[in-house]
Amino acid sequence: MDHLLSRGKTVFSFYFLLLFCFQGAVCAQTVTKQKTVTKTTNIVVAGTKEVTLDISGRSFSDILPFDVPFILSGTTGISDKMTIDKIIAIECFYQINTTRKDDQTIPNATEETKYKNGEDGRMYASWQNNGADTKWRLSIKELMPNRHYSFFFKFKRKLSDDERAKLAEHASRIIPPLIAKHVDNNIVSLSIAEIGQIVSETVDKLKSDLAKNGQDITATNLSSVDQNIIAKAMGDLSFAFQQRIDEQQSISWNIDALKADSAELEKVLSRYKASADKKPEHVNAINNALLLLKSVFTYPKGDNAVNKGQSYLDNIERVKAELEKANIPGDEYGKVKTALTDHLEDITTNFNGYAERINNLSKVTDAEMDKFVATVIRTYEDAILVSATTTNNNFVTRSNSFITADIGVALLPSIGKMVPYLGTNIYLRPINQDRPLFIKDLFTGKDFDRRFSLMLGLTYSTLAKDGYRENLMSTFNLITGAGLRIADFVKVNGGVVWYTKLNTNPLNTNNTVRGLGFVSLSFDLQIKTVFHKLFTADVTTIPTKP
Amino acid sequence: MPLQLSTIQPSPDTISPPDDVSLNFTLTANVGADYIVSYNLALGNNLYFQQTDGTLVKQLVDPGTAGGTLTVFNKDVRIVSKGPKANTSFVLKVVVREGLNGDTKSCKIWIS
Repeated sequence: MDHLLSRGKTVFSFYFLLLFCFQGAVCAQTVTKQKTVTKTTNIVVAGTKEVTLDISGRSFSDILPFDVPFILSGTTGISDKMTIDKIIAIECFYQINTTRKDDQTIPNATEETKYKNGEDGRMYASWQNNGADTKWRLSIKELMPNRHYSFFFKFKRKLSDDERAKLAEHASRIIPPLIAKHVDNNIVSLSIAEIGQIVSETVDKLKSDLAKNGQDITATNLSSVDQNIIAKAMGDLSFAFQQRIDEQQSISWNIDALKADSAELEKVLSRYKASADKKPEHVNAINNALLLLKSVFTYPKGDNAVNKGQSYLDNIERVKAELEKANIPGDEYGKVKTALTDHLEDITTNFNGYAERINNLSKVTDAEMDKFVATVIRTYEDAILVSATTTNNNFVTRSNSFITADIGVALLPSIGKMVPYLGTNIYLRPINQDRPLFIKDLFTGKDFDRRFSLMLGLTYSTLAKDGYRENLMSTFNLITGAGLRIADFVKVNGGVVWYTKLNTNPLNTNNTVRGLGFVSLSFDLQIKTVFHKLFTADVTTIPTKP
Repeated sequence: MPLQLSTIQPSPDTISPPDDVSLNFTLTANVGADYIVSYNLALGNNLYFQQTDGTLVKQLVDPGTAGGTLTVFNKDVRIVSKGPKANTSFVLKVVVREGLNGDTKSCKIWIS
């Protein structure tokens, strides 16, 4: 009777355990589907492992998990100074690195599409800053165990003030020569098409320069408002050019007039030198004026007009002074002197205007280029490559991926017994027990290599029968076989329990080892706490569905 | 007396061709000086001055003699375009010359 009661208890316990475990599995699935913690392209469940990208070391904070999706996170861009508020979006392209070398190259646009389409094992993840996140998160798909991976990150971010200023400076060198090409009959004329062409050429040159440093800028598609801003910026800049051209043209005309005046002065001097009442100081003064006039015929241009302009203006004043010194009586000299003085004053006015326009052009360029960069280039891209592995280099830790322990009950039909046992399961590939296994997939063959394992264990109830068999080891028997995980922590197994068969002749001690076939159901030992709660806690504390 | 133009002030400074613009500026010159003022548009763009007889030209020329040292100009010009809108702004250039010397100033007019 006791024997029957004991067996009944065992069967009841087994049934209850089985029922609870399945219920637990269902509950766990329900919970995980409810809690989504990120808004990336993949659904990431609560409790998912999070690995941090170490920006400074271009590495991950941990060995990457395999077989389960996980979260890759960080709080900065490619430098610690690039804080999350500056990051607009992150794209991550990753695939197995079969060469295991750090010589991977940044994928081009065509390859990026392949990553996005998941071609040839390539994978892709992205994150958009919604303004409220304190760190960025990428949902990484399941990785294979024992593999090296290459991760390519593209950080799209806002321009810092410093970068914007640098790009504006860069653009201010590129754009003016492009505008200068559009001088038409001494008039700077830019059509809408030409403005678009200048924008395009400028961005291309900026991109080309930045690409050398692995950086990229993203030119935005210009809205009609943006187009107006750019058109106005280009218009203001081209007008500043126009003003400079106007002053140069005026200087040029007045120099032509001055040359004519100078020729006239030479004639006056020639006649004066031939006259009886000539005075050497007047002749010298006119000679000096004529000599100095030659230096006025050529004026400093560009930045020299600003830097060396005073010297040029001083020469003009010296000419005027020499003309004053040459106080030759008579209308002839007086007319030439007046004409020369007028034209010299014109040149002084025009030259001052020219120098002012150059300064103005510089200011306008700075101001308009800042608008240009702010409008056309809104995004900056930084790219980094990071290599990572799913192989754990620690032997003990790595073995955990191959070996699990479970507790089970084996049915031995040939002797009509059930025996509990403690077993170890040896998988033929690393497995991650965090990856859920579902019964519905069992018959499709999916995840077979994650389910199948060899088994080795010990029964811990006696199989001894007087005069017939003894336990193989003290009170234990060896149990071997193979099993298949049918759900997360439930396995069905089959194999042989090894015992010592006693010789039928009691005087003969030559016993033999024999096997008894069994089938069993076992539970992963990691849920021992569930077992513990089940048998020790009050019924009301049993977890229920949320 | 140097021959000098003041800044050219267009009114209005934004037009929708065909439209009229008044160009306001002053000329400083010697009394009695003969001058030529010309109004110019870039040859390459699709904008033209429309004369009273309807002809389209790129340059208007007004000869004159300075009656005083300061002459005030309020020149009305009609700007028309050929074809669809091609420019967002354009430069209208005023040139004054007396013999070999002269002065030139430009103004910018926006197209809406």
